[in-house]
Amino acid sequence: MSSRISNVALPGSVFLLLTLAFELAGLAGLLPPTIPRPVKVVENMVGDGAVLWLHCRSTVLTAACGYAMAIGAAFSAGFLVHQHKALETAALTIGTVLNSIPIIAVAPILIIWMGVSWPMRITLTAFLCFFPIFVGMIQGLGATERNAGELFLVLAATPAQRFWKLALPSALPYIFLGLKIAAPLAVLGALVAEWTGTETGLGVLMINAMFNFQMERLWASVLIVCILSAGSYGALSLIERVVLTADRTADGIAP
Amino acid sequence: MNRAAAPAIAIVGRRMGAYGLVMACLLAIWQAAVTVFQIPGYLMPAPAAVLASLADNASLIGSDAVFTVFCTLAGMTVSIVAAMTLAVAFVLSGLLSRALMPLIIVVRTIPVIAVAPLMISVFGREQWNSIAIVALLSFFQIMLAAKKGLLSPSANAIEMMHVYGAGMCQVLLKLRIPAAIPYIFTGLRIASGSAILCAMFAEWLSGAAGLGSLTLDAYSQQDFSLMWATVLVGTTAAYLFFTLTVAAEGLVLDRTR
Repeated sequence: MSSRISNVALPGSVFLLLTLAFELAGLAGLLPPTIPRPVKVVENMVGDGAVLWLHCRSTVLTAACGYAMAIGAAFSAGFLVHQHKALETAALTIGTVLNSIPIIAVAPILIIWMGVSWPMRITLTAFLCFFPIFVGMIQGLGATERNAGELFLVLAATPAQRFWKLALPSALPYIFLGLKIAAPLAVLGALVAEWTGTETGLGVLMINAMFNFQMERLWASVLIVCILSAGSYGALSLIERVVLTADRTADGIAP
Repeated sequence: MNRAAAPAIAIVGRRMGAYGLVMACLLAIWQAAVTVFQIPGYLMPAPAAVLASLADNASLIGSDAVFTVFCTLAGMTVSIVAAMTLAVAFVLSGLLSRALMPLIIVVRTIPVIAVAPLMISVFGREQWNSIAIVALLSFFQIMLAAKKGLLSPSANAIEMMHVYGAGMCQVLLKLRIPAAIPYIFTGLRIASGSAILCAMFAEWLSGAAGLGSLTLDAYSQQDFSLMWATVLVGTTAAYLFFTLTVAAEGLVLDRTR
């Protein structure tokens, strides 16, 4: 238990020390004008709290909706590929090709189709998140134990039963890997969509702050983005741990 | 020197030859498709037009390519030095590793593009921004690979070094670093392929004079031949960079073996 505390306390104190060092350097006038003192950034976060919250909400909404849409699409595609093995190579090839299109090239196309709108933001986010989750699904669904698969066949399980009771549970570790990789990408997708010219969102706030040289606000918004992307990754790691442990104990295997 | 370098030169020659062959085939198919289907130039310019544009703008593309390659090399150098120093420090000190690794893992989950506006503000719109983004992106790969490599010698080997009275420095120099070299090159190889593309991306965002900006300018001026020419040069530079890393790997591994 003490090692667990030091696992958090050590990096935490290093972080605090670094912040303190920047604060002192700022007070001594050693920092360039583009790096504000941490206290100023926090002051700005509190003072502009209402504005930041408004924009943060719209970014989180975009990221969450896009993420959910990507999960839905990846699960449907994964189910289809699982039912029809012949589709696997084709689906993966198409996925790889789509994934290698730079996101900055996708944004203008989506704007032509949908205009600068909420559906565009969400679709762009979903586009960015889809591939890692999909690859996780395919890899995981292929990792079913052979004996268990044969048992299901002998017991005449329906395709749906095979999917829900066998393939999906054994695919969970891989799916979680994909979900974890995709979570920060959801935040990124929302930001890129906002850079294309929407009116709300942390991305808009960030770009405007950059052009108006409001460094405290720029740092505050970037800090929130960092917290969002690292936090979403951390939250998923936590959910993964809970779900996978519960899954294993349900099977009667010690965790 | 010459004798030792011969296999490396052979690797570069063979790989670049194969690359040229594949590119030539692709360009031939592309040219044939454009001629047969009469694809208009704004959709897909013919390779002949692209090559002509490449020849016409050779000095512009050349100077921009030099800028991009310089930024990439500088960024990679910074990240190699920083990554190696930290990896060695982490292996020597468990306390440091436990204090810093969690922070590094947290930072690693943050997409670099998301913090690009901050990077541009802090590092300016010149070469420093590109160098910083390349360094930041390749740092994690090289650092994690080096750390894995430094930890790869077996406990038996380390114990034997201790039995012979080797100090920490000797274990590091004679055992850990030689063992880490293949791992470091793996990290470098992964990083090198994308490094030039990262530099181009950074220029795209900041507008510094380089291949990335040139691509974007050509696109906004609807000069698609020039755009494809810069893409061609960027891809070739990335491949050449990757090939040189592979050759250096062969050279170093041959010598240490």
